[in-house]
Amino acid sequence: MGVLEDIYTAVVDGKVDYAVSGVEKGLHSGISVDEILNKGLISAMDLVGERFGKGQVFLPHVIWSAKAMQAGMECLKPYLTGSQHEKTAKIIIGTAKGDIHDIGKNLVAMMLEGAGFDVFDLGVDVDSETFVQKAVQENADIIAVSALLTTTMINMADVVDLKNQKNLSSVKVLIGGAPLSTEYCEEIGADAYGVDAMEAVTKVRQLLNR
Amino acid sequence: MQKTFLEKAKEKTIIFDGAMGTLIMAAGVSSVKSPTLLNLEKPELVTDFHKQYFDAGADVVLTNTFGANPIKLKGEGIALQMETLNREAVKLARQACPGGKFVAGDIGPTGKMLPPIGDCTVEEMQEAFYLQAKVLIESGVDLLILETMYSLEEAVGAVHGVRNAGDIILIASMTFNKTEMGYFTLMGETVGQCASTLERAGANMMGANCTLGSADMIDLTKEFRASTARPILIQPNAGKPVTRKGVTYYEQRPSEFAQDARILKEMGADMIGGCCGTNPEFIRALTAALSGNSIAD
Repeated sequence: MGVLEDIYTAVVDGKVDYAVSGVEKGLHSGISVDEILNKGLISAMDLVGERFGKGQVFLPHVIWSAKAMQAGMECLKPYLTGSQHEKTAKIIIGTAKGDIHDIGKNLVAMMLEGAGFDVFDLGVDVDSETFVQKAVQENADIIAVSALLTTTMINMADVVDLKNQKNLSSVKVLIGGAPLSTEYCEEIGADAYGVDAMEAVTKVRQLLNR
Repeated sequence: MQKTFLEKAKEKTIIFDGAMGTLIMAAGVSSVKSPTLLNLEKPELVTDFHKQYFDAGADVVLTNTFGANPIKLKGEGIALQMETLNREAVKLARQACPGGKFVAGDIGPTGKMLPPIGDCTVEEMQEAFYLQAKVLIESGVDLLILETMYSLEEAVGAVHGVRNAGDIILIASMTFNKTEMGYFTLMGETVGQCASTLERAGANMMGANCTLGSADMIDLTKEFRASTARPILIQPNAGKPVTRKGVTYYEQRPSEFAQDARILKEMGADMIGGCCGTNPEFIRALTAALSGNSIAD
């Protein structure tokens, strides 16, 4: 349990180097990749997220934890088996067309990566064609769209519509941003709404049903 | 001779204006690329908003330059217009400003994050704030206000940038979240930390704005007052926003805002204004409440 605990603590404390050395040590001493991933990295990030939600830790801390988590993931990658790779859901993320505000989107991307998902960041001012095209190309599970403005959030509906037109029923659409709500999510037919970066992770897990 | 801002601030509770964005949206012109561009595209509208706030009793209005710093404008592809946008904004506020009242040059955050979260350096930010402040000062503002700052490190960079640009009265206002553990910026800085750090960096006055409604600002004001002897400015939102059909509404009545403002004054606020959701009605009610009149509903 010693090594797993070290990895867990390294991520909770946001220590990148310790997370890397912990994962390497774990692999050498024969701990399974699954255990390192789930009991070491992901559960630690969950705790950080929980504390962030309660206001016990703040953004810079979460970022360092996410960086530690990502560094640990990098070490694990060569050892992930095919099935473990498949388990990593793919998420396409970007801000809605016309919207250049990316602080929230970047946070969500970081938290999703921290939770172990494969995230493709399309940046800002992304039109619906690009979202859907990339989702098809990457065989993605989720398209995540962020908007800060009431004038740009309406463009989220286009993403949902285009996705439906192309009959991509397996691809789910997650939306988020300051002016949004569950009601708006229902109105445009998106699959889920996350009120903040933490909830985005929770909603992705629910959408993937795991 | 007309009194300077500092002299006036010693006499009475200074009243600041309410939201600019709220009026822009209500006027149905929010679809333009950047609200800052209205300074060129619809100048008469901007002057009218300023005039409405002065008429409602505001002593100070903020120029329509919240998003007019070079870094933000670059993201919108209009960086070359930085100087013109800021200069015109001051002109429009000046046109509406009666004698004895004041124009504050408004400076918002860059919208970028410092490392480890983002990759914009504090030096780049400081330079951007310097450039915007320089234009605002040269265009003839009476004072400058840095507002809605969510990172103390960025705010300090902004104070230094402004100080390099010139000697002018500077208010530095942070935005705080209320948690079970108290009030914190997005980056986790406390009210006391912000007050003392900004004071040391060279801000003449400090404050809090946005995020919180008037009721949630009361304890924060108490904490602020205990942290500094300098004048403090409190600019709450019009209560908590509610969302219906995807549209955000602020439903607080001006009278409720004004009642809370009386308490804010008791708690030690030297200057009070409004942030998101407030309009000239709020400032009218605020003006009446602080001059001791009964609050009409």
